[in-house]
Amino acid sequence: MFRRIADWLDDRTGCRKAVHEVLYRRIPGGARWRYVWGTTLIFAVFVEFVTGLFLWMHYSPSTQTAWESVYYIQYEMSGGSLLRGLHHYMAQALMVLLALHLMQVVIAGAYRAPREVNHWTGLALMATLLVMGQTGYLLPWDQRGYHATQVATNIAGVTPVVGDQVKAIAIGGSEFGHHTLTRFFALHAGLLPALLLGLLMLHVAIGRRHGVTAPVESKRPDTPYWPDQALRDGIACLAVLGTVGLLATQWRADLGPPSDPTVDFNSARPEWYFLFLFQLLSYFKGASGMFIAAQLIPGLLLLGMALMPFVGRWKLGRSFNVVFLFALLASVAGLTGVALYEDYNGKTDESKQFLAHLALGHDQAERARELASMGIPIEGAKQMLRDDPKAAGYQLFQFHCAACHDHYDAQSETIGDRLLHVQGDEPTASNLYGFGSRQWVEGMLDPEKIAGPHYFGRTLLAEGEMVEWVKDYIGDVSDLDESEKKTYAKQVKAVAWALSAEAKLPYQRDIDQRDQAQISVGNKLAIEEFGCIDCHKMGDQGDLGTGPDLTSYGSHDWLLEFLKNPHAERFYYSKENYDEVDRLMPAYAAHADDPKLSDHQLHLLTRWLRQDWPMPVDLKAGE
Amino acid sequence: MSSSNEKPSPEPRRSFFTKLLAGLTGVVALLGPVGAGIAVLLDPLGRKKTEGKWIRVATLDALPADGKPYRFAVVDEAPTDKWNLYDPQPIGTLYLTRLDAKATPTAISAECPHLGCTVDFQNSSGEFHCPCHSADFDVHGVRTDEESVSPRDLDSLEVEIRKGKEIWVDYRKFKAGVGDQVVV
Repeated sequence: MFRRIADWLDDRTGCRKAVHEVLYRRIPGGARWRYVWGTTLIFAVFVEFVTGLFLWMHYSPSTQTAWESVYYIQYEMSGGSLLRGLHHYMAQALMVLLALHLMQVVIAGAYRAPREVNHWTGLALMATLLVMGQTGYLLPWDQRGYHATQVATNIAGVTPVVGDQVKAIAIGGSEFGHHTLTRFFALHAGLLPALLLGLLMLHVAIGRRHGVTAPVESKRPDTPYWPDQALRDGIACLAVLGTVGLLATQWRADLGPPSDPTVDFNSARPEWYFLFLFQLLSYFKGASGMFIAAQLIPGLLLLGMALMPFVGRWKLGRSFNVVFLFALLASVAGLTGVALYEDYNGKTDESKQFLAHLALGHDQAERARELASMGIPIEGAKQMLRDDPKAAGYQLFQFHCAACHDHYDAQSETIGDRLLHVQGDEPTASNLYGFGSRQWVEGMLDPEKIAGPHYFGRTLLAEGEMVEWVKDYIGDVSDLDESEKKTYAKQVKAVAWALSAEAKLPYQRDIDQRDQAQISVGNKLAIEEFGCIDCHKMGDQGDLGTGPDLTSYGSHDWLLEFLKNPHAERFYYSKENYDEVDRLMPAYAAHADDPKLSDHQLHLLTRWLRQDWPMPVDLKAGE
Repeated sequence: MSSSNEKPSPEPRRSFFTKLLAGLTGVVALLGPVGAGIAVLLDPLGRKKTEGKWIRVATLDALPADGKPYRFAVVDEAPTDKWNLYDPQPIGTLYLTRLDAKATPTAISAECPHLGCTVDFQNSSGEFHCPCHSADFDVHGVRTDEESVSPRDLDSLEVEIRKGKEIWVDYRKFKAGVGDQVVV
């Protein structure tokens, strides 16, 4: 039955002969492991085509959906992370296999007559694959791809004569946008694969015509491809797939934070196989330097490789070609190594900054993922982050507050969440980490700390009445015995907790609820014993005009109004400091018609300072 | 099967083993990436079906108690599509009927059980009419044709009155073209 169907098919297509030609072609000198590299390359291309096709089914190329759809593939779809990982890492494996294949060709002199044309199709394949890598890097539309592609298209822009036109055509206009993605996607998934397939078929067909380049010394008999060489090829392909699969499951393909040109991203780097070019660029200055490093030198090197068949005709030509290739690969490896070392050594200032930015990028991506898991608004992930108190609040603090204020957990040895960590060069004001929290207020009422760098120590208020009061009133316990000291310490704590409860901080909701008794005791103490109301207003007790209003101290409304105008009567205005108001914190929206920060920005900043931002429900429950 | 196997098939058993292994490795290597793709392709099958959703459709004031069906839009407060979370949006229509001022309204989905077109209530005939294949239903949604193209009557939905006057409906969609009510 099968035979009859096969006969029928063979009669009409000649498939038997075709299969026979593939399977039983002669392998000169018998099967060898060293012949597997070509097949693994074809296999890698096959994997890229298959995984790419399935990614295509779920990818959406526009500035509001590219990152979002990749996020969905990566984190929400079953097997999506593996699929994207295979595509991502197999592309990198391709580059390695390509280098091995090239080395083999050059060492064996397999470019010599009559194989010149095949050598050139091979080089064309290499160039195509590199462009595919470059175009694919942009498609997730994350900060890394976005910024790395900015660099790449700017390089295209310095091409003599036609640079501007080339760049405009590549990105579909003068700025990155929808058409940058649609064009890159069409290149990456349409034009370039078609070109690749055509070149590959040509390369394989011509390769078949000439057969493998047998080692001259081989005395072993020829064998057919099937099954001995086929088995070696199969095992090699499985090994490649296994390695890539392992990489894909152990180190998930990265998805950076969604691209946003208004957010600094100082850890943008190209894929590692372009790092040598990235490094080379740093040695050449100016516009002509960029042209030399990124276009002229790579162009000449490619020309050098294309000329190998002719150079190889000379007596010493083959050796020259080998030396040329190895010198080239060694330079590429060297430049890549230097680039990696400069980024990751952790000793130089540049490296420290790079690593800090890398970690920040990681935390931004993590936050984007967290928010996306709750549903992305139709405006897209970029806007989602711009409206997020955590991500946008960090940006605002960096831009507008960090010149004077720190914001980091001084109690912690390690840097936790980078989106909460701002440490300035020369801060002149307090560390606002955990402003209004129990810990923060306790420190404020601590005679050891209030004049320290994290509170008033660096400001005009270091000589103010509050510092004096804390030192004299709370600090002086010489007339108390041990048990009285303990009671007193408890009272101070209760006052701190009561004041902190005014802030109604979201992350203290549970403990504020739990400690209601101590808090009301603290409130009573603050008014009746500690005399806070001599200078501060607390609810309906006390008056404005001497110290800041402590009613709802640290709450959203209090902080928002404070940021708008700290010099208001409710806050730092008093007769004593009237002349020195310029030495106090500036107002950010003292006049409604001329604010330094918009209402929206002030709200975001306030919420950031209060660590008040949306969290996915399941994450909250897990804490 | 290492490099010692130099001559073509010196012994048949070994050659068979080599062939089997070569075939297997080849197939596994080729199917691996396809499998990863298929897993993602089949993602929709593994997802939990969305159960009905209680939605506030109208208030009693907006629904005359005259026994006639009135059409209302069903607005989802937080519709989602893959990665997106949208602002409130209409996701369907239904008919509410109130026999008298005391009765709880009844709700009928406006989706024809035949193939999912939207049925229209016609005051002249007092019947629901489907514009696609002319199925007719009475005010209670029961088929009136002797041999209806529709495999079942119009789908009624559960109704609840909340806060004294808000009409809430357990809105769900059913599979078209089958005799039984199957939630999709």
